[in-house]
Amino acid sequence: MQIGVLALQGAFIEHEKMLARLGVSSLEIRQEKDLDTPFDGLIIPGGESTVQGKLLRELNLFDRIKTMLEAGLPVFGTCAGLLLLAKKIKNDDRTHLATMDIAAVRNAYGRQLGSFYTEKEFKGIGTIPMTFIRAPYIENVWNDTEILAEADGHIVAARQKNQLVTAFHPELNDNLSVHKYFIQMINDKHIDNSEVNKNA
Amino acid sequence: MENNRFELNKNLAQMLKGGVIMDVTTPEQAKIAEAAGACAVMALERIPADIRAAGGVSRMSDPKMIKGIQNAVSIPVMAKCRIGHFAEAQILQAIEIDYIDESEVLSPADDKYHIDKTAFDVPFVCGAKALGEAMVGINEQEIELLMAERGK
Repeated sequence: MQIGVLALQGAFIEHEKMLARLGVSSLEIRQEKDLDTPFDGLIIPGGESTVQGKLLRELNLFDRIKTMLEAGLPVFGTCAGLLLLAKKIKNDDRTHLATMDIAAVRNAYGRQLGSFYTEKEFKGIGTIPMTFIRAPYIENVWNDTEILAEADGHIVAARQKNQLVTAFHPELNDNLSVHKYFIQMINDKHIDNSEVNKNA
Repeated sequence: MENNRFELNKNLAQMLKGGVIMDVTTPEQAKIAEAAGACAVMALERIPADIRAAGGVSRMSDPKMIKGIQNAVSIPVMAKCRIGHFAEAQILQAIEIDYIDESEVLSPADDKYHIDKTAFDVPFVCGAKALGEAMVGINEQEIELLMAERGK
């Protein structure tokens, strides 16, 4: 298994280190030709969504990645990655890849003084550490998007089919469980595909 | 584990990696910087080269001007205070700046001591690119004495 990590700006090395600890190799996506190498899932890291959104477009990555996601490539977005995947951003006119049925609020907890750490329940995993850095949260979800975690009355993790998002940064703590969850999503998808092929 | 400001502040620096931080003097410039792909802006009244050329005492920027920039963009906003001027740093923290730069570009307010950063909840900028740069101005003899005192 190989997982692509969008490496345009922000905390992508942290994700690669988590994957390495789980014995999964990663592929840095920096330019268009990097998309020619096959990969089984994509991680969109934390950073600034305005910067990553701009670079995605300017480096001709935008349309190809959006097509891959729409075709069912498993994706995991943290913080800025969540914003890039959201179909609606409440306090911003701009949206980016917009493949997931969630409405997010940018910088929802305020500036750096509002950054915080907590431990909360994540559906299917248990209580895990959650680090929020100038984080967004999800105001509401629709269609088949499932809420996976809430903190202080706000949605902070969700899943819709092959798309997983967290407002917090699992890559900043020692706990590997959310990355394991994403790898399991990729494995489950492979099983689904082979079922489809069998039936065909 | 409770909120550890040191960890949270290090984490913010991790999010800015690979980005460009632009010096800006007005909300309009901040918007241009954001649209051009800056990952943060440094709010200051004049660009450092102009401040040095003008001479005289250069201080922290007007908080009203900094707030104007904070309201104009969604990316982190940083601002400078004078070396050793903890009151300026307290003002910057009170207006919820994302980073304080205790900067040699402004007139130093204290010729001996820098600000005690551990007393603050917001992070401070460090411009050093390597340990050598970070050690500039540090008295090695004093460090040896301190280490000896601690038995190291």
